[in-house]
Amino acid sequence: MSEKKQILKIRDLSVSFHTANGLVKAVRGLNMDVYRGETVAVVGESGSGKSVTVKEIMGIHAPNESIGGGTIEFTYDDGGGEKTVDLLKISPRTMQNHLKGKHIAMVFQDPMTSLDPTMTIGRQLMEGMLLHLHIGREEARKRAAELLRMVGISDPEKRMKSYPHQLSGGMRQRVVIAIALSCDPDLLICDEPTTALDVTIQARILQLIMDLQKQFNIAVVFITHNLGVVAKVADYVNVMYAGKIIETGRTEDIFFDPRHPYTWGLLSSIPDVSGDKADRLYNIKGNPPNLLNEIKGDAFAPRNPFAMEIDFQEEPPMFKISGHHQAATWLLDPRAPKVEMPDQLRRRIEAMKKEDAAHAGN
Amino acid sequence: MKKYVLKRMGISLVTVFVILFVLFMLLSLMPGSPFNNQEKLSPEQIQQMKAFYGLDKPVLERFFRYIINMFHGDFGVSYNIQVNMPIRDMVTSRLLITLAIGLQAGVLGTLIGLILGIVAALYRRTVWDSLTTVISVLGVSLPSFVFALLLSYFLGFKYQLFPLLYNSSMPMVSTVLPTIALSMFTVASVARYTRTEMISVMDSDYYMLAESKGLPKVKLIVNHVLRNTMISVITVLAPLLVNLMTGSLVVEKIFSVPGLGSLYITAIQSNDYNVVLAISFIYSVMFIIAMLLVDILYGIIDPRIRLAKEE
Repeated sequence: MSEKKQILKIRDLSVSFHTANGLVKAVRGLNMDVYRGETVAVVGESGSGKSVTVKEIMGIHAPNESIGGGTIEFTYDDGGGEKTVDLLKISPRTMQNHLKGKHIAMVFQDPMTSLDPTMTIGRQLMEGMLLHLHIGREEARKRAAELLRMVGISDPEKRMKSYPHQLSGGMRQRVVIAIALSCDPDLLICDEPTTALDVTIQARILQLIMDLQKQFNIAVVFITHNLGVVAKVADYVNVMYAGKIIETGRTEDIFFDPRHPYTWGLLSSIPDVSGDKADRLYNIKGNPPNLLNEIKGDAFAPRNPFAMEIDFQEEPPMFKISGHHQAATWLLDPRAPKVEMPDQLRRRIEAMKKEDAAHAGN
Repeated sequence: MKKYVLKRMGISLVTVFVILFVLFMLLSLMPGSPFNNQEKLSPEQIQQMKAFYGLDKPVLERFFRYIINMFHGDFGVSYNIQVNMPIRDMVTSRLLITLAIGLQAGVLGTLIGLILGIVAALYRRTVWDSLTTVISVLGVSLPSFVFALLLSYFLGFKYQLFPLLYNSSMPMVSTVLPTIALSMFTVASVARYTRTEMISVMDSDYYMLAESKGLPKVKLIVNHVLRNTMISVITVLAPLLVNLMTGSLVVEKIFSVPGLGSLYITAIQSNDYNVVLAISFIYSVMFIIAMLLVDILYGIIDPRIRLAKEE
């Protein structure tokens, strides 16, 4: 494999929000790398900071937000050679006029509300192209029809004259994806793009995103709380908890060799329908920490059945496990007692591995 | 759309007749008669007068005769305000004045309201926003006659910029103060709705998506925000038009504008049945036309409505 080209490099990103109750530290020192042609999933429960992180990449800032520090380096080619900029340092105007839509595009969560109800699909699709690609109306129209066909919408010329309310949710999400891809972006951000769709449509939209990603060779950041989705689409997985990435690695690493107790919990709480006996659905005890308070030690410690004394006192660093696989838990410290993942999870992972091997054999 | 408009007009026609019928019945129940100096007239003379105008006939018969005459463009004559003068001649000039003031106030009020609302939404939490809020609160909470009195005191009396009372030798200048007084409520309401609606549109998912395309702010506002904002603002325009009509009754009285409103009040006080009926008819028709226009406008702006109507 040739040299991978890094598109996005986030280092030590901290974001807080001023609220009536005080400062909420939503993202606390986050690192992330994204390479061209790869899909990176960010997984975590609600409030873990995943959406805030992507909003920072997109330059969508809330009025009560303050950036504590860090860098978001984005590498792109605007015709005059490769350039790397810090998205946190460039002006909102540069972001709006030169990067958004053209180099960074986004697919939003709810297709029912993310298209302008008063504008035809065609116009909404052509808007970005007319602005960024410097092409004429006729050419934009042709390209729009082509894009619609590519995302699986039949009779695109007719559909371009439709308004959003005349399309189903799945169709609308296809249109949103077509809009995102219309100017050949380098980076596509998908913020839970299938959460609002029903399950049968979900799989098709995921497949579509994967196919298009291969076709265009773009980098995708995929935000989700659904591990099933992660397994399907991602090359790399970042598990987020309380504003930090606590485990990161290739998808196989995270699913077959998880090391952080929180990841164990997440994997255990996937409903298992293949088992002979109906297991009780596992849930992680307790609640995520209140990010208003200063967090001492490991944020997950109070919910961690394997927590040690040090977990409550000092924050664990990222321990390297193998090439890309890292996790932030004191259990990986050489001095820590040997703790194995729960038996039930181990059995489940063995079953998953077998299934995976069977698939690979086909 | 055409079919829809025709259907709406049919319903409107029925509505007008129902209004006229109810009014006819109510007027016949009112005490007194339309004849001047009735205490000096003998019962025989009153009877004679009633017979002359056909007022001795049963109510229903009179109603049907009235409707039939109406189709011939005959709204009857005045009984006491300008005796035996045909209503048509009496009302036409006054209608034009009232319409002029009403239209001016409506258009001016909506435009200024829109501009204020848009500015307030774009420059949220600045002086402009606060200023708009103050204007809105004042405009909505103070009745139009208070403004009318303030305007006539300051601009009419103290600085003498505009005529204090309506002067038929300079009709345009004379409508300035009544127009301003009448438009205040519209300005305030439209500004408030526009601001709220525009802020919520700029908070919507589709605005975020449009923004993520990298469109410049001007394009975002013109192509996406304004149209969606207008949908809600138009909804409140209809009730505002009612307010313009009721407001004109008072404002015309204060500036002694020779419009329909002041005539209406005089006619009701003096039992001049035909005048009351004719003006009510005009008000109903004006209102129905305004509502229809609002509805058509709604269809033009919102494709969801337009396409649903076509089906």
